[in-house]
Amino acid sequence: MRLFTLSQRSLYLFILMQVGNSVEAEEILQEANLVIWSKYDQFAAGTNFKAWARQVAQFEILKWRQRHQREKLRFSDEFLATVGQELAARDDDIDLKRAALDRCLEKLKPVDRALIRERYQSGEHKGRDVAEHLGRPANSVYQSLGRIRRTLAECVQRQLTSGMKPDVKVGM
Amino acid sequence: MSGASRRELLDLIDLLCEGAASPEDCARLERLILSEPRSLTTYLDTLEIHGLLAWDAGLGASPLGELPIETSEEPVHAATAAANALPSKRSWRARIAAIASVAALVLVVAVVFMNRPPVAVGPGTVAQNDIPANPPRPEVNVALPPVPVATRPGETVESGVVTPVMPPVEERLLADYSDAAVVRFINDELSAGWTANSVTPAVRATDSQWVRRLYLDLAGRIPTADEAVAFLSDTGPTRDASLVSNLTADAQFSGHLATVWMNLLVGRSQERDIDRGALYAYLVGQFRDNRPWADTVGDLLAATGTQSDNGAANFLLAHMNSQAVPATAIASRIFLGEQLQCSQCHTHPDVKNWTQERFWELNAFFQQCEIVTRTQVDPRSGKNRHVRELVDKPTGGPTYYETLGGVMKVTFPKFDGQDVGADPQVNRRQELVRLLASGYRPQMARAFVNRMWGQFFGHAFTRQPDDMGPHSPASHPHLLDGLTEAFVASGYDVRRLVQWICLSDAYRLDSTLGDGNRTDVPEEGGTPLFSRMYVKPMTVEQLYDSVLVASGGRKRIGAVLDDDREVFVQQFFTAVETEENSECSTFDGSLPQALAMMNGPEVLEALAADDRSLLGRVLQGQEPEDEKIERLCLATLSRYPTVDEMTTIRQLLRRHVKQQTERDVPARVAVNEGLRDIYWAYLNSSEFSVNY
Repeated sequence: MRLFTLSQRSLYLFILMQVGNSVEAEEILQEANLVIWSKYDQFAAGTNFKAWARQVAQFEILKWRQRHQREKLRFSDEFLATVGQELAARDDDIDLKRAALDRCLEKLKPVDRALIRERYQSGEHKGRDVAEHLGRPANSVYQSLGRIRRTLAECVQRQLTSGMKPDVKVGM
Repeated sequence: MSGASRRELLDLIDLLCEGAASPEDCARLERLILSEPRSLTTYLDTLEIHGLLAWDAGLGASPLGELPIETSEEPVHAATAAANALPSKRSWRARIAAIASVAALVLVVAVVFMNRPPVAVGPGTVAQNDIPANPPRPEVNVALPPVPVATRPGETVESGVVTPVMPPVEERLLADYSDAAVVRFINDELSAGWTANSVTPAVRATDSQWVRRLYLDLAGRIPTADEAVAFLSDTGPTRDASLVSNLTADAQFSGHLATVWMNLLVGRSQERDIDRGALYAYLVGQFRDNRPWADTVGDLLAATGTQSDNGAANFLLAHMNSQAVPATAIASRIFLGEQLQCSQCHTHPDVKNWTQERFWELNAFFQQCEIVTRTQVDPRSGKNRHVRELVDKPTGGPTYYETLGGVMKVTFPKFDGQDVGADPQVNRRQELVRLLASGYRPQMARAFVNRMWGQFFGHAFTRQPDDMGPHSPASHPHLLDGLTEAFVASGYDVRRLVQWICLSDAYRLDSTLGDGNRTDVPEEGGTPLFSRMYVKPMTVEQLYDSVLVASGGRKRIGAVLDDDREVFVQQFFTAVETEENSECSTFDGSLPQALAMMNGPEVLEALAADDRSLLGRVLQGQEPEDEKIERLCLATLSRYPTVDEMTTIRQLLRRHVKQQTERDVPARVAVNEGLRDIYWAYLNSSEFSVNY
């Protein structure tokens, strides 16, 4: 049970990076959870839970894509395969990243932080809603959010590399 | 990559994160990402940040932690920060006790207002005296999207247990099984009952009442303030049908129904040796995929396998003790709505042809079923654990039973006049399932419709939803039979049945007992006429989920059993090992329930006015006081406060602030304390814990 709870965030990200939409990723995660829960007995303790859970999630992604074939899928199978391969190679400590993100959020300019806060508070507050609320054109808000996200991404990257031991090779 | 392409890549990623990317955008984005490794890395890094922010926001935990809020007023800002520093729990309880009188007054006020026709403040509401005594019935605008009966891959609807059967035209109770026609049928039948009994129905419920009722009945929780406001401010003609349709398609609907049915099937206590999580996951899947009800019954009654292999097996695994006597009684009560437990020993006291033999004829169907127990070493914990497996042995032969006089008698599996015989090669449980689902209006379907009706209307067509029979005639037999026929004709489509109920006129009525319908009090033994919505207390799970919603947390309700909620529920239930495998509950307005609501951990967490809670966000906001009060009321009671409520609340608040400032407490802090007390009073009001 503990393994399960701890891996939720990481699994969600794994799915999100392949389907590109947070609401869909959540749905697929729910489906995967059902399977993981019911098949838990088949999972042998001591082996890699994360890898197994990812396999289940991958399967759910494919099933989901099959179900939604009628509507145009966002990304092609080739894209999925490439991203999937890349994700397998990336083995990140999500909790470390989360902590780094918190520190980076504190470093943002107050007005940027407020914008992020408004966008990501619970409930449906997509970029367009935020733009309406602020009375700004949507595209301008998208660009601001994008800029802030990129700033955060760079900051997190710096935090992680600076936290690593000097004799570990840092690839970029 | 050129600067322009790089720019384009970044723009497209932004659009994707905001859900604003068109198919052409996605195609272009994909090409750019695949064109070089650096672009792929950028995409992944950005999506990761986006995902981390979105995930934690969804759990109600603000990613922004303990950050000061941007305000233009520095002194106020400092005071707010001081007020939001959470005091120790002990001083919390002291404070709650100290202002009990204030809260009690508000409580009394709130209860008093429940009984008066409200003149609500807020958009789109109408003063009570503007509504005519008999409102003209609006045209039923039932624009439901078609809900197909889901089939598993390779299975057609015909190849499963269920075939949507319709009686020959001359025997049909309804000419038309379309959604609009069925809803019209319900409306006509009920209003004929009102006319025949000289009863005028209650007025229409307010929009706030209706949206709250719908969320509680479909999603098992109250709506959030945002959801309530979104509904209340929508004036489109398809608003109601859309909400019903959306809620029945939502994951929380399947979670709610799965909870209700799991409690019916195996109770809430955790003392039975079964895998509740597996059963819950199975039920969620059934409701989420809108599997025909007859299939679910079939799965549950004819299940084989272990607790964790086959979630559906847990029902019988819980009740197959004592020669399947509890299983027989419970299966009959839950799936057929008929209480046979007395018939185990003698003829039913009121229904003379429900003989003792009838019980044992049903019991005989379970004779081939056995539980095989093994011990296995659990790979996770290294401990021994029981694996219990349901199997069918190919045996046949008679079932023996004893009368009260000590005479030994014999019988064979028989249901509804059909004798299944003694052949060991016939799988009895599968035969039972087939027999249960045969016909145009089988009792299994009637019982389900009766129970569902009871769940939504607060009272079934019979006095008890699971005590049907000649001794307890249905209040509206033609309606019950017709609705059953339509349900079977739809292929036992649970979602559609629910939608028909929710879009009926009667489901939209207020719950007040007035002079026009004074006789409609089924709880006192009268016939239910459904001329008003009967008040339904919240179930434990609904209360828990609603407190969570009211406190601003958004847990991912649905796919798996929520551990925290199970812990909360457990404090009220214990299993009793009788031949009916029943349960004791202390969740009935008792002291434990009251204490849990007054200062249990969930409520205390709701009162913690930090960034994560709704209360915290309201207190820290810059809106005028009136809007804050409105927000708190919307978040807990899903409505705007009435004019009189507002006046009283403001008076109480002013008095409290005056008292506190005389003790040198800063005004802002006192105001926040007062608002917090109002919020607590709303949470503890009877209006909150009741589905009216």
